[in-house]
Amino acid sequence: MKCTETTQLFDDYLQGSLSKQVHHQLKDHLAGCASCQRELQDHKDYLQSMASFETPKLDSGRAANLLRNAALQGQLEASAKDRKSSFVQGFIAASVMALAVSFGIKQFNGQQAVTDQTYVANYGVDAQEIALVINAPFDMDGAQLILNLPADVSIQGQEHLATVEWAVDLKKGSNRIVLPVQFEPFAEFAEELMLSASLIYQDGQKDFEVDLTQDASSEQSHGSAQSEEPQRQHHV
Amino acid sequence: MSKVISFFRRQKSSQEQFQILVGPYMDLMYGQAYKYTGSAHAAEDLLQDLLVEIYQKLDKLAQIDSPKAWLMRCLYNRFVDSYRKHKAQPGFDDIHEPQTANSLPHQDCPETNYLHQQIVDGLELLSADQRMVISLHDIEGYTLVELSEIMSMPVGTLKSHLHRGRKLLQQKLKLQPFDQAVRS
Repeated sequence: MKCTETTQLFDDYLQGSLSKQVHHQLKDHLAGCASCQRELQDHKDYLQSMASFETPKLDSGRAANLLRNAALQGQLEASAKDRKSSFVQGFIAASVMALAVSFGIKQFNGQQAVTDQTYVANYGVDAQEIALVINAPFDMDGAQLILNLPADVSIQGQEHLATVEWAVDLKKGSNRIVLPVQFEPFAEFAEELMLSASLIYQDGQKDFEVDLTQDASSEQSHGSAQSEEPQRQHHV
Repeated sequence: MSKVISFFRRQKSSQEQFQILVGPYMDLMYGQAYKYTGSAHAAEDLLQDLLVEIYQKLDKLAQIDSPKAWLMRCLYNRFVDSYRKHKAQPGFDDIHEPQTANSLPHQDCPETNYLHQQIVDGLELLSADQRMVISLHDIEGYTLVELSEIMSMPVGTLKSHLHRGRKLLQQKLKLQPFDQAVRS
């Protein structure tokens, strides 16, 4: 066996996976070749160094954050790709307290008289989600929903946004939107956490406000009087 | 003022499914991302990008028999993309992010930390292919046959990357033994 042939066999030699014949040939060569012995020792040192290499550990809290951020961003990207896709109804957990907000007669477009009800449900200040339930009187494709968040409440992973806005295709009947939110620790001491929202469809707009601190069973949130009359569409 | 964010189409169950499917492999992926990128910060960035991509393919992941192998291949593909981008924008390569003591796994052992840093620096000299084979074969202990299945590459190609990569890395490690660094 020549020296040039030995190095490529070192891995298999060390693992004992060479055939008996080649193994003995290499062993015999090594016994008489100081240079190849050094090469083999260097190779062993190298493998030992590499095997001892350890990477820093990922903190479990950090891992959870990465997963959560990815889920949120993934949702946003998926939605951006398909803005006009039909509205996917969310859900409200059984523990959700329903807070009803009723609106009176509303005209969209000034042509069609409709009855519209909006419900906002929340979990209280410890909530991780807010569920917004919109009862649409008819299919409203491409409706624009704008939410102005209270200072102590933010969308998870998007803490810098005070206003969120997106297009939704509302179907006739109940449509539920679940927002992953987080509350500032001191939010529970706030006297009110006013969430204001606007629903814009064609030339009509409905504005409403909901105090997230109100007890669902005793309080009714107040819809804005602006909803009584059709308004020109505008952006916040 | 207002920023448009689009609607959250997936339901909570998707997030839970995402965590169930991917959560067990977070340490593994982070460790490998670290070996690819050479820094904790860059590893997190790479992993975050990958996770966003994976979330879009959640349905596919749920049907895969060997999610570990699939995730490892996705991570490698993602790394290759970022590696090429950085090569195309060499200015970014000039910004070297030194490891802080806290980010190293052996905070109280300078010699081990020095070797660690030498290997990280050495890996950065390698091509993306070489880095992948060296880190998974020599550090993690995968066989070439296993890597061939995971990465869908011929064993001969992997062997070639391994051989060339080792040559460069061994040279780097030989040139700068620890005791020299201490004296300097």
